[in-house]
Amino acid sequence: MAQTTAQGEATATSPPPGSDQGSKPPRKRRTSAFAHTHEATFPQRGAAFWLLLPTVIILSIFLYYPMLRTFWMSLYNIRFYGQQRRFVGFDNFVRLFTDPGSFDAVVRTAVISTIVIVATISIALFLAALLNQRGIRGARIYRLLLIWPLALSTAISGIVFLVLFNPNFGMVNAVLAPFGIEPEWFRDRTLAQTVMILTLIWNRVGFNLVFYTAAYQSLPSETLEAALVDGANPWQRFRYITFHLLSPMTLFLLVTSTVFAFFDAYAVAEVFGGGPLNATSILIYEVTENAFRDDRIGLAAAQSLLLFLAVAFITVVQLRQGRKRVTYQ
Amino acid sequence: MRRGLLALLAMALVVAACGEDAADEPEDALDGEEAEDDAALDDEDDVDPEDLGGDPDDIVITFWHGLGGDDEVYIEEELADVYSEQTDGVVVNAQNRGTYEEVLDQSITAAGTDQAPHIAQLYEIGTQIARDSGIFAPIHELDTEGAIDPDEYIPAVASYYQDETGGLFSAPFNSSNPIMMINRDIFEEAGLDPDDPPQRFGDIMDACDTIIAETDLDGCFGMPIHSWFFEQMVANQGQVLANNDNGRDGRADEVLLDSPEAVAVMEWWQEMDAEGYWTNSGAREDWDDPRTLMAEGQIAMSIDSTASTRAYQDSLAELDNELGTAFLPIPDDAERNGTIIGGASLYVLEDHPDEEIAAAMEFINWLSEPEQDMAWHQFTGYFPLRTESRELLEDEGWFDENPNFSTAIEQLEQTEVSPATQGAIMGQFPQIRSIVLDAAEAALFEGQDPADALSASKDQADSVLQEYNADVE
Repeated sequence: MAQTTAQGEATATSPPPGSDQGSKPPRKRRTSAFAHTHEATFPQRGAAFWLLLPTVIILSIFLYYPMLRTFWMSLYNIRFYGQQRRFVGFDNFVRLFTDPGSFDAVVRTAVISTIVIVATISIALFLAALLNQRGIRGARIYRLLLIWPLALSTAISGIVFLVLFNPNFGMVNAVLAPFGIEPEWFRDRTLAQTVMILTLIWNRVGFNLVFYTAAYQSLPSETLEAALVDGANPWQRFRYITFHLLSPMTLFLLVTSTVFAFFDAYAVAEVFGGGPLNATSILIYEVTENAFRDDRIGLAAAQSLLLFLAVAFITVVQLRQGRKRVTYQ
Repeated sequence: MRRGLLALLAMALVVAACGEDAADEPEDALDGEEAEDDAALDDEDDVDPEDLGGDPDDIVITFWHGLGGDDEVYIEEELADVYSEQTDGVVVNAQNRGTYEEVLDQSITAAGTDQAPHIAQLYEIGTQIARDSGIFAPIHELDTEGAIDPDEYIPAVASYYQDETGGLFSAPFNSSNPIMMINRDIFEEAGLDPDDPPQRFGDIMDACDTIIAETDLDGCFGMPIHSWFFEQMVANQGQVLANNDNGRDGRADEVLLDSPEAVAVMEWWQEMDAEGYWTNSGAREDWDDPRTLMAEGQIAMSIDSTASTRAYQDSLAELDNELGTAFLPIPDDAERNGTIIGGASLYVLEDHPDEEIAAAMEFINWLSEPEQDMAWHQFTGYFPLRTESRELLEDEGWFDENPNFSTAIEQLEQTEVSPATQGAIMGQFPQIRSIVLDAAEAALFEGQDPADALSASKDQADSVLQEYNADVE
């Protein structure tokens, strides 16, 4: 899997040998490369159109149309779940930018998401490195146990953690009580956010671990053996070789974890009721509350559009940075 | 081999992740209309009466409700199916459509399409939006054949659902109110009389003091962090929650969260917490929390819905303890006015042929007939709807055998029907509930002065309500 991804990416992005960035506009180069393939493989001119059509249709129905529709809705004041509409131009956006609560929500979401993204990736990488050492007895069992939380939806994870961290009958405080520590997890903003972050990490590390493990198993042994022969110690082998060889996978996980932290985290916020005092009310939760509890679909559309653009922007930055740093074999 | 398996698993995950991501794109999640239409198409498109055990040309009455678990099975098997079997020419197709919130939003969205249900079960805080949406007609207007007689309902049950004409806008179905549950054994252990439970705020604090001193309990009292209880305690003092007589005499445009009665409730709650009497998880609207605490014998009293009476009774029986019940407590110097009906009622969508509306009315009336009504009460703990059913239950000795079911109904019958105890009707009620909890959390968790916290919430609640009114008018 990892190899396929890596090679696929490599063919798609690596420029022809000897080209330099400044001399030719990149677009022209790409067009000519495509035309070349086109002529060679498909004698008929229309073939590409027909081959792309199913994808275009599916994307139009499930992505482009809803996106345009969201934009259209964001320009309206909508009541009664769509039965009443009034055109308000960019009022919904103005409102989001001027509402003092919006800024807090953005900061809160950014902090929670960043911690979740960084932690799930680094913990998964660390565990993958441990599990892929030679001679660990029962590595497969550990792996299974570590991957298992993935089988639970984020909502169920939220409920499990709500019970675990219940101050009165939860397991966590039962363990901590003998040491005289009995935190009231859901009465304090920071503690509640901590539990939310832990829930998300617990739920997601398994996913990242599966991918890292797969990537690990397709690492080229000759490169690592060469390093071994050159006298590199384990840390050096990890730092200078494995880490770089895993970088395409890291980039992939960075993007998927970002989507997870910004969107899938919704269910945990729902279980925690967004509280206390909005501490766990992240943006995607606010979008759904606005839309479905408060019947403010226009406002929610504007909010979700901004959230979508923000996440798209982050993803593009990640991919651009990735292009510079990721090492493909 | 192992590598192959892992690769397979990884691939499966990519597929799953892609599906998930697509579903969670905000624009998709948002586009309520499409989502609902699709969902409706899936299982609603042209229901064949024969699939429901009827004849091909039977009328199908679609009934959307928001009750899950045992209640859902009961509605579908004991009510809808039984009615379809015994009634010629009509089959009832009862469907759970998710939460109350979802039933409301799906019904409004589906209105005017051929997927629209005939009957929708909507929660009480959706009353204003349901009336303003224009898709439901009052039952007293639609019921041209006089199938439903409002005088047969228990007045305190029906009063919430009456509109300004005095007729029923929606038909009562599952009604409850809050009562206090008591662990009688803990009371006895602490030397308190379980037959004379505390009824006033101060008495509860005294009882808690005794319980913590005399038993090895750390806490004493449970209540979910939910606006419903706050609203009930305010109404119990005869105070309305919204202006214009709780929105019953003209549209409400102010939420009276800063009334002395409201502040008194919040102050007591804060004090209960500060003293360590109120035990809680801290999570918002966590209904399971007090139930679990009672079931584990960690607290002696809890405030909860009458609809959970049976669950409490069973869980205490497992501890070998006995459940007692008492009225909802009131402040020391207040006069008891009674509680508001909570739960949901049945709305009829007007955009259907006359004969289907008439059939829907017959079904609604059948639901409240004593036989069904009594069984519904005994199975769920929701109130009987009709005066006649209540009398029959009395005659059967049901309340003597089940004194905990009788506390609730006595509280109901002692309720003075007034705008305060009829309950508030206002727009954005679900959102306003959440704003009330903002004040509660500020007072309870961050030590803010209850009056200040409520006053801040009042401003916010007023502004969302006024905005709603401006959009609707």
